[in-house]
Amino acid sequence: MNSVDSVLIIEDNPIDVFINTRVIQQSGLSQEITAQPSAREALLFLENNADTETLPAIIFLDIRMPDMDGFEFLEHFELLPESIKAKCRIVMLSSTIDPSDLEKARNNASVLAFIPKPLTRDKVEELFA
Amino acid sequence: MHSVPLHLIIPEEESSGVEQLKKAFIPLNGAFKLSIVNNDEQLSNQIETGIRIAVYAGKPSYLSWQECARRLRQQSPETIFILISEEETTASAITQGADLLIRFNETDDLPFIIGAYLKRKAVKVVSHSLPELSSESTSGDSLSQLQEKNKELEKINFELDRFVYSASHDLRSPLTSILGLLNILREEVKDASTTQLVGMMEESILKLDNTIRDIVAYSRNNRTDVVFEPVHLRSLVEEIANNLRYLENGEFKIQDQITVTDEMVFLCDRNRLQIILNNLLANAIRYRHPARKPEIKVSSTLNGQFVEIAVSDNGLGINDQHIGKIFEMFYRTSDTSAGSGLGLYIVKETIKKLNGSIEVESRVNEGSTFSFQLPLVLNTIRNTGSHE
Repeated sequence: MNSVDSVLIIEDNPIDVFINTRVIQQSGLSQEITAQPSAREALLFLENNADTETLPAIIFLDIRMPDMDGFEFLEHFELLPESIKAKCRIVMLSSTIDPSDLEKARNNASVLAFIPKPLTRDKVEELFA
Repeated sequence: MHSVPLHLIIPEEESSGVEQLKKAFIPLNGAFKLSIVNNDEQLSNQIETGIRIAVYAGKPSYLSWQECARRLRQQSPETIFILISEEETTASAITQGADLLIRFNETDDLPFIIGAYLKRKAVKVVSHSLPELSSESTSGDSLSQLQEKNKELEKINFELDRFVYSASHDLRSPLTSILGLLNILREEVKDASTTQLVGMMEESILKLDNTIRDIVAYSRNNRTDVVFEPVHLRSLVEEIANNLRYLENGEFKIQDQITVTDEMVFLCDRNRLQIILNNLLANAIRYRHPARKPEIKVSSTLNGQFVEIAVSDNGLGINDQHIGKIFEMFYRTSDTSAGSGLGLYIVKETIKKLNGSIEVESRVNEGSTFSFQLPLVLNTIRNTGSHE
């Protein structure tokens, strides 16, 4: 397992935040985990932490969230300074079975991978082996 | 989606054929620029201006279709190459570089066939939308009325699609949360009794999840157009095997248990074929014989205008008393069987939508073979779509 300094979870459901946090810790991917309950707060968090060590190497991004969804987050993410974009890699995480969601995720250059929920140790280990 | 100006090119010498093709393209005027090419020099000039779609018809002496396809793609690899031919088979056309094979008597359907193909490839036509309604539509309606109705139907279908996926997502997300929590529980509490309980809970949740997926597949089959594209059977089966990994239980790896016997490429509705094979393969794993590892064989043959695909297993087999009823809605062989009773019904309905047929042969304790036939001819398929 290649571990990273810090990870950000963007997820509106607290139970899924709990699951993702626990799985990321258990897998050894990172011990430094932050969660933001909405895409908007996550963007603010990234801007406020540009050029700091808190800036996450991996972002786990939920797709269906109220207000701003995962794909809208990606549009805003594109407009962030290069220093932030270069450091953060994005993994989309969702219960969707809509083929158009999967296609959009696949065609987005900033998205490293799409993982169907739930996040498990096996899936994390396979992706970051 | 990307918008491109479209451009058609037809190398054709016989004048009567050209007239018929020109007539077939009338509904596409405005969306396409139509060029007829009569000799090599004209073709080279056209290729230089960039060609999005090429239709090759007749037997021009100056250029074979294979060579024409090669030269067009050399200039722009994205070019869609449509072959009108009586001699070639779908397989020979596709393996030698054509995207679509159309018979001469189907040229009147060209606008629909091209429309469906472009829609599938997410190519957006700039000037105006392609007709998608059946040619048998009421002749009294003006074109604009038809387009209006078409737009309305598209909107309704689009919204229904969104609704089905949103609803399925909202039903599935608590299930995936529970599965996630059970995974953590299994990692953290390792005694035998807990592990067993967790396993049973997972099984129940996956069963519910399968029912949701079945309902979504069924609802989509009824509403969405049949769209044809070249399908490589082996890659499709590999993709499905990968998605079925949740049925593994540590004794075997699904991908090692499935053999695809031949390299077959044919025209088919990929999404629907995936639903059919997904259900048949999942059943072959689910109803495996407890005394041996599952061995599943997927074979295919091209038989005139049909492709025949067979999925055979060495599983439990199906008792004679059940075999006549397995394709019925909600039919289950026993209360303990894992499925929703929808899987084979959806298989049958999906095959019906494709104008195909399915048969089953089975021996208890030896295994079952499901074989289905799907037509490869485009006009048959379009009719299926418009009559229902």
